[in-house]
Amino acid sequence: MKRRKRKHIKSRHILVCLIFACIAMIALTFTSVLPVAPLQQVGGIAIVPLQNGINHVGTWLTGQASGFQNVRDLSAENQELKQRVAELESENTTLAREQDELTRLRNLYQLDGDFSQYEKVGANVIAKESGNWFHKFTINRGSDDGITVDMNVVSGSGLVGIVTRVGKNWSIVRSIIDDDSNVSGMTATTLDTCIVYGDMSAMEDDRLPFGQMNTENDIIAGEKIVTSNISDKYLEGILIGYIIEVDEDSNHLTKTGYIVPAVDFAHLQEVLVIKQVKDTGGGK
Amino acid sequence: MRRRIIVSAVIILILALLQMSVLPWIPAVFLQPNLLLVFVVSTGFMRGRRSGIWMGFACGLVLDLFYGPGLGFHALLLMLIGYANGFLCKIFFDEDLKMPVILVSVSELFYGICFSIYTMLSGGHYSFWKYVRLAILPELISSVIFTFILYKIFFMINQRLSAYELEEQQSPWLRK
Repeated sequence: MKRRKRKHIKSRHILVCLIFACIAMIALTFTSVLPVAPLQQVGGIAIVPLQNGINHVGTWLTGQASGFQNVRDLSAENQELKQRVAELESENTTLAREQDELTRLRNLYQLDGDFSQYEKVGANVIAKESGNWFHKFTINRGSDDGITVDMNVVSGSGLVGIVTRVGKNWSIVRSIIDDDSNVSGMTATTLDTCIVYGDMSAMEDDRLPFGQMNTENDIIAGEKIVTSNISDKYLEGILIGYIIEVDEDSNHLTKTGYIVPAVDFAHLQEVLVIKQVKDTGGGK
Repeated sequence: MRRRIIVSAVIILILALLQMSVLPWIPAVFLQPNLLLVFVVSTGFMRGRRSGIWMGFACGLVLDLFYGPGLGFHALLLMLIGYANGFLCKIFFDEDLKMPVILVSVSELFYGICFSIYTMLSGGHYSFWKYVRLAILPELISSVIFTFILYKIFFMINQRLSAYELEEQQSPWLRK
């Protein structure tokens, strides 16, 4: 009897009810009356261990696959490599000399080592955003490891993005190629500031647009762009990328162009989170 | 009924994990199918409007929890998609693939257009065609490819479940 009664509710009515529920939820979360974070926290705790496991399996499989391939190509490669060794040995002597020069120049060129002084924590990328819409990804470190929102994320020596959401053992990073991302940068030598925009098509041709560079200096391709001192969220002096193209705007005041990011966003596995949040309130 | 809910929950979990953790590592840049959408479309098509609504709602909530701009956005979209596909349940009879492929394509298109409108309204600075080329089309194509694989599986699971349910209905006194 009970069952029959339930059948009489038309699916249309269920739909209308749920639509209202959804709209209510959207409204509540957007006006942040209903905090999303705790719910996402619960989801994260449930799903992050699984993601971690899958990630391990995936890495193992890739390792195995490349192992097999190596066996096949081994002998051919071995010969090639022997030749290379001879070449490289001679090259090495030259490089050792240049290394000394480099260290000396690095000391002069202070920007480079700047962010190595901050405390960092390593993290693995365990999930990416599904679909092509945004370029956010999940890492396997969270508030347990001392991560908070707005911490900068780097990889190798380049800027990857910024932490936007933190859970217990996971956090979400918005990369600088995300559509929503705008990073205040500057040229490393002349300290001219500009804005580096996130762009969907970065995925396609590996470059990011920048603009609003207000300068009379000659900016040439190859110039380093680092995060600027006036950025309110990014620590100063982290390498973003190198200019490959620059044009003067029609107003003859500002310049726009493209940079090549220093990080390879297609193959991001390990990242470092800088455990320091830029303090623009007092401090400086 | 209970069995169906549990099986669906497991399927949703597996698909969500696949979509978020495994598939992004496949090196093709544009291979980003929306597996949960394929599931919602298949359920709506095979089971009707009511199932389509609930499944869409559940799958949407899972997506929202992880990457949604706010809770309820994907839920609303996928629910509508499930409901709309439920109307075509009448013409569902066998594991023919033509219909699901068409339905997935249309649903993907709808989903993509809604999402790009949302993105543009919330401050995206690109033209609509750029979104079509960079996000909607690649996702549509890879989803269709995955439909070929997944629809057969969903179909088989649905048949197995229906068989169980029929058995239970015919012999209610044997139920524990």
